[in-house]
Amino acid sequence: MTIFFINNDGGGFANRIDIPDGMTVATLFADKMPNRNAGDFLIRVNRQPAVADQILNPEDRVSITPTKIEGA
Amino acid sequence: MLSARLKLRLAGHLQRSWPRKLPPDPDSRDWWQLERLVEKLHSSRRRWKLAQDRRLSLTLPTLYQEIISTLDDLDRSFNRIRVPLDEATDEFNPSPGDYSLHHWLAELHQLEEEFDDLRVNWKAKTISVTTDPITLQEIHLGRFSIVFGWNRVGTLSGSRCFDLIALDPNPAQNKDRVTHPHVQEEELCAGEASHPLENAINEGRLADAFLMIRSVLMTYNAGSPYVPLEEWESRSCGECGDSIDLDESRSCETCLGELCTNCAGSCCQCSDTRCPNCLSSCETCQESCCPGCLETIQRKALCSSCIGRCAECHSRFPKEDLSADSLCPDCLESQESNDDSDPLESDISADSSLETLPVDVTFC
Repeated sequence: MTIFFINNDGGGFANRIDIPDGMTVATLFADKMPNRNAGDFLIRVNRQPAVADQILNPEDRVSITPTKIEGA
Repeated sequence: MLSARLKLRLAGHLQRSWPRKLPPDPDSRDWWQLERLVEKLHSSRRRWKLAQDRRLSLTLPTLYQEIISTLDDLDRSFNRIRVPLDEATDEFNPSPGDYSLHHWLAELHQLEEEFDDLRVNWKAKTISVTTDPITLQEIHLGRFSIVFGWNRVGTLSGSRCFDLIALDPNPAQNKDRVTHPHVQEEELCAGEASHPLENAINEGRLADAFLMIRSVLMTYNAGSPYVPLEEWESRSCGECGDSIDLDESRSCETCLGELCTNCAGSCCQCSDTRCPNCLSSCETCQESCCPGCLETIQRKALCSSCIGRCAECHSRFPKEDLSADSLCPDCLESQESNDDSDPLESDISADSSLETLPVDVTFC
């Protein structure tokens, strides 16, 4: 299935991506943000706070935004 | 909370403010950056080969790191070029200017949920939210209003569409316009957030942009602040520019300038603190004095320690001009000329007590 994935870490891109059916928020995070701590990010599914074991649905909008970003 | 009617009106303004989809630009800065990164990668590879040939094993780990970092940058650079090309070929992925009112209403709704106090200023064409009080390394910086000007979209870069206004300002001691280590004159130096912020604005992800700005405000990057937090509450010396801790700060009592302990001078007479510009030197002893403690005697600026009185005429003179008997030059000259004339007259004039003798006293 396809979801709309927004990664505001690093370059900050929004893309449609294919994920396996039944994928949870935690699995998606681990896949897209390896070795990162989920507590350091605001994770929203369809603009709402999400829980780790929330199962994603087709066309969901998932955004990941760091809570700490270094200015210059 | 904005009413549904106001939100709808605001969504309409946002929809009209975002530019329509632009074709990819072959002259964009992204291409230039990509070419630079490729050159950098070539250079790193040459040095790697050289280091390997010469068996400079100690330099290899640094080179590996450099190459990995360049490859990461290249990855991002490729994406920045790739995404607009993908979008240009994807007719189902509209530009924000083509987004429906529903999209903008959803953005506004999310903003309200994330920040509680979404406000709009129709005249200034701005949307603003307020952060919680921000404290970095025990320095209280207060709340910030994140103000987004929708009329700046398409003309200014992502972070410059925003103003950051300190609501409880605690600016750096020496720079009133620096209200946060990464905010100067209400403008955020977004650092690592620059690209994602730019992308969020370009893609009409307004709530994401506000969230990223809040994340920057809540983070301290000791590597490149406008003013380091360590110096936030210190002052700088008006003379040498070095920072001064509050308890070591001195103030010139004439011009009120801040001074460090090294640059603070004091008057040798009244001991008041003065900066070098507000101190003069006694022309005799060369000690530092404030102008109030110097007196001009015989055209010389002197401290009170260097001023004496003539024992004869009692006029004030520079001590260095008085004789060993504390006589001024005139009195000394007069005395010497009297010594050379009638010794009796001289005795009379010298002995002032004779002036009080009865008039009938005669001298032989």
